[in-house]
Amino acid sequence: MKKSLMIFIPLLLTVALACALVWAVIATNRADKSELILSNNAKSIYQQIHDNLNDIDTNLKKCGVATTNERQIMLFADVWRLANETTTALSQISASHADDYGLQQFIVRVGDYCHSLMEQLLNGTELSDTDRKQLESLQKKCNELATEVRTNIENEEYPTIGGDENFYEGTKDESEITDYPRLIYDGPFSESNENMASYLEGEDIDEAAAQAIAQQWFPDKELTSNGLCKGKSIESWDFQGENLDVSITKKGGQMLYFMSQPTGDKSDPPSNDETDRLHAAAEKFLQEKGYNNMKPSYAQYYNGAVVLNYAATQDGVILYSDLIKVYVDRDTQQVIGIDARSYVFSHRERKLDTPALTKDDAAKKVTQKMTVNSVELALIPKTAQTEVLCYEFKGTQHNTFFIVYINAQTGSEEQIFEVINSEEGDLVV
Amino acid sequence: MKASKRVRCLLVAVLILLMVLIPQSSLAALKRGSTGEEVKTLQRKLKQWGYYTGVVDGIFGSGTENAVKYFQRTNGLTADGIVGNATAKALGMTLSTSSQTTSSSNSSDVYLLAQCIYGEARGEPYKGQVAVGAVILNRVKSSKFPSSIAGVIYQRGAFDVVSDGQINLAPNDTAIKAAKDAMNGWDPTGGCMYYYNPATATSSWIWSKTVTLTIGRHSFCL
Repeated sequence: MKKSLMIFIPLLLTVALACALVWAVIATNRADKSELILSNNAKSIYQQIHDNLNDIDTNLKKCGVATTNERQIMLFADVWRLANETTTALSQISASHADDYGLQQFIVRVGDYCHSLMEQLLNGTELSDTDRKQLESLQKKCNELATEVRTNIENEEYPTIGGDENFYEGTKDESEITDYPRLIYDGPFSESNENMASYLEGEDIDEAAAQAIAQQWFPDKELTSNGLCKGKSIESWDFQGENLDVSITKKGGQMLYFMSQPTGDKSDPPSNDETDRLHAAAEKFLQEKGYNNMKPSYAQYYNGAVVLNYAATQDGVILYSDLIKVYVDRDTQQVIGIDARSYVFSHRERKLDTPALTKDDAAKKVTQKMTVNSVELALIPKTAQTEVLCYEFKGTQHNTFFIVYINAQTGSEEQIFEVINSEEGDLVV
Repeated sequence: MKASKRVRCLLVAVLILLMVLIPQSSLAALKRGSTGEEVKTLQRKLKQWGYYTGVVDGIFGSGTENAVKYFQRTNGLTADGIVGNATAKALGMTLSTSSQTTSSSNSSDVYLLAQCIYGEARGEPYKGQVAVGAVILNRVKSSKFPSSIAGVIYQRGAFDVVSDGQINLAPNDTAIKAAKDAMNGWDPTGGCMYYYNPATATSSWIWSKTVTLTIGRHSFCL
């Protein structure tokens, strides 16, 4: 027994050692292989960024030569595609956000700008001198960037895929980051849009005044202050109570939002009766709080509550930018939350023109394949800074719900939405 | 000894096989005679799209069966009147399995957002969890960041939970609700694009930003 053990233990240890060695070799091999894959991947991504910048540069140069709208549209469409690809590639390499957000922003805006020019050309408006000048400065910058990236590739200096620690560690100073041409245009990612001010009016109020307003909404709750939230476009005084968060705008003292948790956790679709009761509760509440002429558009059911979207109306025209979301508890039918940010941001008296087209004229612009259920006039946001008056057609085609917007002045098709009918959502027709 | 080992091995193998197979085989298909909430959902959907004219009562009778067949015929499915996986998918429904009910969310974006919220902010006040979701969505809308939820969350180095793999944890109901509230537009941060934990953050760049508000352990900045 002892003898066999004396042979057995060293044998076992030797086998274990051999196994460990084999495992080590395999693991090292695998790690090397993974590293190689990652490094190849990083190289190819970086090379792609270079090629794209180069192509954007070439396309923009061609734009300076092209004289027809058609050719220019083709070139801008290509720049837009290339810019999107480049930003995706940028997000996949490990780089310092603190150093690179300027580059990211520049590329995004190049794409966004070319997209807006494309729309402009499609609507028949030719490029202005300002546009041509801007395009030239963009082209120069892209050329510069492409050269910079190529030099980095030649010197084997490019970001790797590993190492995720340096996201917020910057080496550049602020002036290097802002060294990109500024673009003036109106698009979703433009500077003017991202720094857009709200239409909120009124005097600034202090914390005590804000608390008094919050307390008026909730007389029975004990509210404590969370101080001032120095938000991007709207500053607000925030308060907290038992199962309650309230936010009152500093300017004008309006309700920005209040939220509390529902009692139950119902998520099943409601019956028609329940839907009616929930809407009635929300509408009664909105009226009591002085939000008049609100029109429901969409409902979502989840975790014990329904979120009802209400848009403001003016002379029967739906103002889709002025949205209030009302949260109603499905068990108690009580309003448990309001999110009025969009309403607070954009609500104002609009100057509404008389539509040049009649409802019937507009209906002719909608595909005959669609079964239309309702038609209404609505003011929809076209860009961040412009709204257009449209006829809104809600209907179905091939069992899919669509909303089509026809410009009430020009008859052009402004927007098409597909309504995703999920278990949780319901369009109010 | 050897035999018992073999038996044990066989048992384990059978168990694993069962574990893999059971969830699929016991998928509760809806057919004539089925009742309950799922049947109600089915009827409501069929009614909405004009396939069904009866009452939404949660009972799968001949009326519902005909409606399902009608739906299957129009959508290129085998018209057997049974709502299995393919038909359910075409209807946009998720069928529950007998072992567990599927999560209420059927949108992968909501789920991914919830995963990130759960990883980054579980244990934070509810408002703080929504705030993390709002920051991600504010990034999507910003020119400084990728323009999709997945792009923002998986941006190299942007979130610790992605770097350390915690993103793959299954989120709890609170995180999923927070993700939905954020997707619905609730932004307690007022447009913030960054947050950090002052107790652990070391980057001087992030510290140089003006703090807009603090919720729980996180400081939020524009």
